[in-house]
Amino acid sequence: MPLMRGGEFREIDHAADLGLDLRGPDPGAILEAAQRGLVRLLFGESPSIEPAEEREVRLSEAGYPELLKAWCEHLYRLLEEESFLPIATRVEDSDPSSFRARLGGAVLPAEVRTAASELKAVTWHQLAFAPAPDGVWRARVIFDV
Amino acid sequence: MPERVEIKRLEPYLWEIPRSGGMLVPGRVYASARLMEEIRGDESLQQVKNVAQLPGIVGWSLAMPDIHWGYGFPIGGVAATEAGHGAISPGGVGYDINCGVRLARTDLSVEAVRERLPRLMDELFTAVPSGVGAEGAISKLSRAELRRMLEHGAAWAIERGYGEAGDLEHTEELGCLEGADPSRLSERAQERGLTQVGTLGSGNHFLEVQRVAEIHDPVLADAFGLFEDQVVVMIHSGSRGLGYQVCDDYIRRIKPRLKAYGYSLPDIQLAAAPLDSEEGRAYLGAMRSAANYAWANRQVMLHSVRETFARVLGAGRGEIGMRLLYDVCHNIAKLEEHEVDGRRIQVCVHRKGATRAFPPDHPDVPAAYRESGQPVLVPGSMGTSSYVCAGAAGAMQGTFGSTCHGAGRRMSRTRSKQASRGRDLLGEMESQGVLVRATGMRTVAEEMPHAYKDVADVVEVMELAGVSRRVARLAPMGVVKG
Repeated sequence: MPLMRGGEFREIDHAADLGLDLRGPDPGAILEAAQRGLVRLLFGESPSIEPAEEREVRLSEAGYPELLKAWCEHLYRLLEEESFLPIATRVEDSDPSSFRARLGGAVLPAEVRTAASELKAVTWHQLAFAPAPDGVWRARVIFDV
Repeated sequence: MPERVEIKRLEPYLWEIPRSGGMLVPGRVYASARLMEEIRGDESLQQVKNVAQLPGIVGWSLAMPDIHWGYGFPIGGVAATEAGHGAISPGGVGYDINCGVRLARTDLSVEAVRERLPRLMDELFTAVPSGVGAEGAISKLSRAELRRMLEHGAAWAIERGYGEAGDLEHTEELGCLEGADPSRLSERAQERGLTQVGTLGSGNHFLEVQRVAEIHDPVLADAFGLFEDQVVVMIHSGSRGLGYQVCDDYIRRIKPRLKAYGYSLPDIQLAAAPLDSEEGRAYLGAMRSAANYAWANRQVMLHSVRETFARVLGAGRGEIGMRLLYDVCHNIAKLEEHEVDGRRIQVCVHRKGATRAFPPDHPDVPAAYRESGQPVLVPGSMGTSSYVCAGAAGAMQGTFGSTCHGAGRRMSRTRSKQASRGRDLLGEMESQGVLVRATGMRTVAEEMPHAYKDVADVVEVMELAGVSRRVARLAPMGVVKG
């Protein structure tokens, strides 16, 4: 199972939708925290399932915010289409336009998958992912539900 | 706390945000003083100001009393842009293109259903798949069948046995927007549409068995075929993954072109293209296809409901008399004629969480409702009342023929879940006489009545403003939630 770094997430108190504020020491930590935060938004407490398989993910986009959006879309797509629950991530390599990660997870029974919150989209609204002057990386992503 | 937006009261139920900064028109908000206090609590008024910067916008950037903070546009927002050089914004329609509501009336009284309601709800829960990744209401479509559905909307479903011919006449736009162009959809959007026809989804989507609890306008209720203690069925859903993908694809496509159009927008989620540009035309063709998908989706669900009622009640369809009262969309952009500054012009009306509400004698209202005005369906929060209303003359003067679409959230999903913690939510609903069948308790906790404004206040504001009038109040008996 991949080891997790020190990124953190916080649910945003958005009226109609769901969102995450993320912070971490580097971009990889942000992306790892986004995976954990997304599972929390979808399921509340993560289903008590151990990772049973590992997948490699490579994504390329125009910049960090777009990478965050694409990452969240990819994770949700795995759940919606393959019932694959991402349980833990290790980002192994990242730059402003791409990253490579190892994703540990397990396939869920259909009745567990359907009980998750549905995401209509990962929006562009307030999408952000950049280092702050204090050197800490911060990001925000809002989901339409 | 959100930044305080300057707003002044024009009339008892109408407020105005004066033009400032990059606003091309003023903002206007329909609300009572009490609702306005709630509205000030989130960022939606700033979003009304942002929408007022949409290129080609005419009249006002409008908000209905169920307005709340959305992404880009506020939910409950209406904006009309001049056809031709004006802009069309995929975010101004929303991800769930043609999210909407349909209401079917029956000849059944509450007593005829009460005893079998638990089994009825169980079987509706099975017949109409819901939740993440739900599929399988009908067989997976071929690409050719999907294309025909995208072109023909609800008629596609009826031709294949999922409905009755009379359903079309009681559907906005007869269940099909002309000008749909399925070739404008991405491969991914099409793929997502192949298996989800006839499925409910999740979030605030629902299927409710309701009773007519109160008649507000006996004449209009009679015209709509409604009577007290009658059983009716309401379905709230949209274009599923196909529609979500269309919106996202086109924001992604339009975003890099903004500079070329000369557009400067305060929120990238408002990304827009000129209606007469290649991207604008392409989006219109794709959006109309997705709208038609949504109508076919709700049509197939209604068919599943009819079959389930007949099976569980052991009655023929004639005895049940389940006929579509109306189907409205509340996330859409449509080319319509309206009077602006004394000129009758064609505009593109974006309704993002707002319902068309055409008045009596409007040519686009079905013949059956020409004297009464278009039926408007306003669902409340889970377990509370919903309303049937009718469009009124004021809609054409003040709101580009639009009214509210629901109760409108007043509490975030996160706070609603916190407020629901430790409570027996299903037990509470059952003690109020409402049976809930849900795929997961998280959605139930997010959608509890405490998270919403009182829908009665919302529809009352629009009635007092002369935009739409109440016909009947509906109360839930059973709810299917994704």
